[in-house]
Amino acid sequence: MKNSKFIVLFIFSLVFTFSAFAQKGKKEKISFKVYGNCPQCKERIEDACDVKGIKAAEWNVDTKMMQIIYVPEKISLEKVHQLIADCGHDTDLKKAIEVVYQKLPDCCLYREKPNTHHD
Amino acid sequence: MKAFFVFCLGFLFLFETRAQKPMLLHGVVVETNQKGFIEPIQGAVIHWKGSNYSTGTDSNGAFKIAIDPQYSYLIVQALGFKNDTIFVSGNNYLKVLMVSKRNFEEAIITYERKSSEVSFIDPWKTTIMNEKELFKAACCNLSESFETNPSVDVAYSDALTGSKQIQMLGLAGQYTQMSLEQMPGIRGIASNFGLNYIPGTWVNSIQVSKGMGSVVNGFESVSGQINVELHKPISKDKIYWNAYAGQGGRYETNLVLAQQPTKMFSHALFLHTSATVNRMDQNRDSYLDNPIGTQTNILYRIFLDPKNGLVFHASIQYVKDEKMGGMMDFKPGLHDTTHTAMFGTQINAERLSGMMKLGYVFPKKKYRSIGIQAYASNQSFDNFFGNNLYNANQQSLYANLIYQDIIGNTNHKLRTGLSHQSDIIDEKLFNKQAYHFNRNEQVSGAFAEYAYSYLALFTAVAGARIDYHNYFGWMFVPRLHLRYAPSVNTVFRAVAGKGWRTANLISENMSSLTSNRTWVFTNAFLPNTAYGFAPEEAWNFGVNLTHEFKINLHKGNIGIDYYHTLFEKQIVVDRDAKTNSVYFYNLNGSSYSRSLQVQMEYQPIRRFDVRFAYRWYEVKTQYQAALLDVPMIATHRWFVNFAYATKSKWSFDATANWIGAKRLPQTLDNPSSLQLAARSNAYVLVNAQISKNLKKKWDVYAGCENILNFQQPRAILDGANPFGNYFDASLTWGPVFGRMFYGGFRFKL
Repeated sequence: MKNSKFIVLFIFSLVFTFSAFAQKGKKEKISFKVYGNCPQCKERIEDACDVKGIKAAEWNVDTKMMQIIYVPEKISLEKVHQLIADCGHDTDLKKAIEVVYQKLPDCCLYREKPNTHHD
Repeated sequence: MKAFFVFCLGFLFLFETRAQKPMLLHGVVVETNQKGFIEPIQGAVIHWKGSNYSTGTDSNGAFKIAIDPQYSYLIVQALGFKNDTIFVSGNNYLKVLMVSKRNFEEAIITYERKSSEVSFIDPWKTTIMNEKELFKAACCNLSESFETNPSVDVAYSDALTGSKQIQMLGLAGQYTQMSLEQMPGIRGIASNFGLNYIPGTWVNSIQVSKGMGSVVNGFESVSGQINVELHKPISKDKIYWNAYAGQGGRYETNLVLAQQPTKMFSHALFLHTSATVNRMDQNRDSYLDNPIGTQTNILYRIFLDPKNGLVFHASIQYVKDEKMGGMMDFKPGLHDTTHTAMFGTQINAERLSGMMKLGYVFPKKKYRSIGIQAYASNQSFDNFFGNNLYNANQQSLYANLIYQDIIGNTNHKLRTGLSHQSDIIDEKLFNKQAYHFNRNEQVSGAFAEYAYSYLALFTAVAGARIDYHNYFGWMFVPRLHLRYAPSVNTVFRAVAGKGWRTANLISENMSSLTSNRTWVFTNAFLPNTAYGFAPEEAWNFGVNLTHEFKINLHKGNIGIDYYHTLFEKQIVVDRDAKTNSVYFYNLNGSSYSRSLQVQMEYQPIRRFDVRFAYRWYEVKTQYQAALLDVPMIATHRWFVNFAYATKSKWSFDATANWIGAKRLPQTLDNPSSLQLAARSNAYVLVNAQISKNLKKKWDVYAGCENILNFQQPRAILDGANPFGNYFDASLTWGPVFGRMFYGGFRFKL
């Protein structure tokens, strides 16, 4: 029984650690559209959002919808859009500059060869 | 304890919320590769004819698209494949087989998608460990790679030889079928040591599956299969070099050179050398904690692929492994059977093996293929453990022919063929008296396996094989696998079947030679038997459930499995009848193993993965005295692994294993000062590692094993009198070696 106590304590301490992480700042979940084509785009877009203040980011290849969980106190939504544009992907708020866009691999050139229309 | 556990599970399911979904059509897009295997196509584009809305496939080739009654033709496009238009009615799971433009430009396509292909999802649950997973461990050889994986246990076999053994479902390593590149070659006297002959850095991936395997791979698996895939010369790394040094004076280096001179031909050379040079005695019992010695290992392999459906692959491997252990001052020259002052052990193993595979895929009917495989090996041991001597030699040959086809359409798939295996084994044992065992086993068999799949929802695989053994006659093995996926996130599997094998009593129980126990074979040795015994036979039944979920956009999964193994015939190894003996006799009564495992993986924070597992075992055998727990098996085990990676390519990994109490063989016949408790202590093993990737080519790592520095007390019983009646170094239930720091690097070009 001594060992079971140890395990229970251990697991509870883990749970508390995680909840402590979770309670820092107020989180908000929003979604918006990001233009892109393929799984490679997905990786690029999600990696661009791997910054402080963004807890989770997921972009859907089919619907082009980006879902993020972020802390508004730490990062502004405009900054999030800017990060995505900086890696070469347009949002309805910010457009990627041509130089960056042209450096994307062929399959990712969503402006010329959009493989989806979601309107 | 159990209630707490159920509570945890319930908690988890509670978390999961799923939104109401519109009517969706689910499906998968696959291709047949050069070898005839079905592989998913990632990034294929799917849209309804006439509609502008489209979707793509994920890394598993899976897609989902909203059903619109307006449209009924689905168009599937993928780069390098012919476009496909499919008439869809209803919302049944769809499987689309794409035809490549590249390789079959001229070929007339007689086989279009039409119905569906055999499921790309295995009907057996397989855990795939890739390189990333293997890198988490200090990883000197394969048996250590499993330290970060909860499906396989790594057990210490004795306190002198440094050998570790794997266990699955609470059963010793010999009940797990080991294969290298799908060839069941590591058998017989090598079965418990085979994994030590595959250096971790040679390995590309390991597939672990519990329970009975396919009849195509033979009759020997009882508790599970472990298949090892090595680096392929066609992979992009041309040079792979690594070096490792550990605190115990262990040094290792590996070099893999691969080349592809033409599109049809590629080859690779694998080199390994390792040495343990320092005489270490951390627990101050005047015996070496780990043996000193060297291993040399060379493998050369070639691949031929003339792109006409024929594929040829061959390899040859040579291993020499020399280990010396025992007292701190022991030297090989000091050993002779009359010498009773200095105790030493030696394991000298040498193995030469070769294999070849030849396959042909009918270019116009890619579901039809034929393959021949062969594996030949010669293994020898020249070992001593104090006054116990063991010399053995084994020549093995394994060959099979597999024909694969469909019946009518690809919902009905058939694999059938013939196999032959030959084992010529000669063993000399000296334990109080001299024994000489030899046998020449010839087993010929035929097998057939039928797979039925209903969309991606349900798969059934029924297999049977019949073998003729030159000593034991006809043996029949039936096996059944079922797979049911009620949703895209949930898979339920069930397995039942039989396996049998000839026990290799000496090599499987070599650790018992590191004691002064007297070996007693209750059956007299007769020609045309294995040590006077018949083969072991066992049934295995298992169910498992895998469920994937998503919380806060982060993916996770939970797996639950339960397996029950029932021995019909077994050779019982009894260390309880008398303290200073080992009895071998036929099972008279029941012998079974029950195992339950619950595993959970989740990514609570980005780039931070948590894996958690709990295992419960009940392994009992009818011994002479009573129905007892099999010794050295812990009833409860907990496992937790944390992995964190930074954006700047630093990786941190920590694993904690809590291993519960194990029953120890009784020591009541000894004087009271030399008796051990009935059960061992529970202990915690913690390993951690930090690694850094530099410029994509270099990986530098450092870590520590057994951070809490747990060492088994009294690892050697009566070590002061190694030739006395009570000496026993085989009662090992925990680590002998304490905290160990190590470091190394990997270079890829």
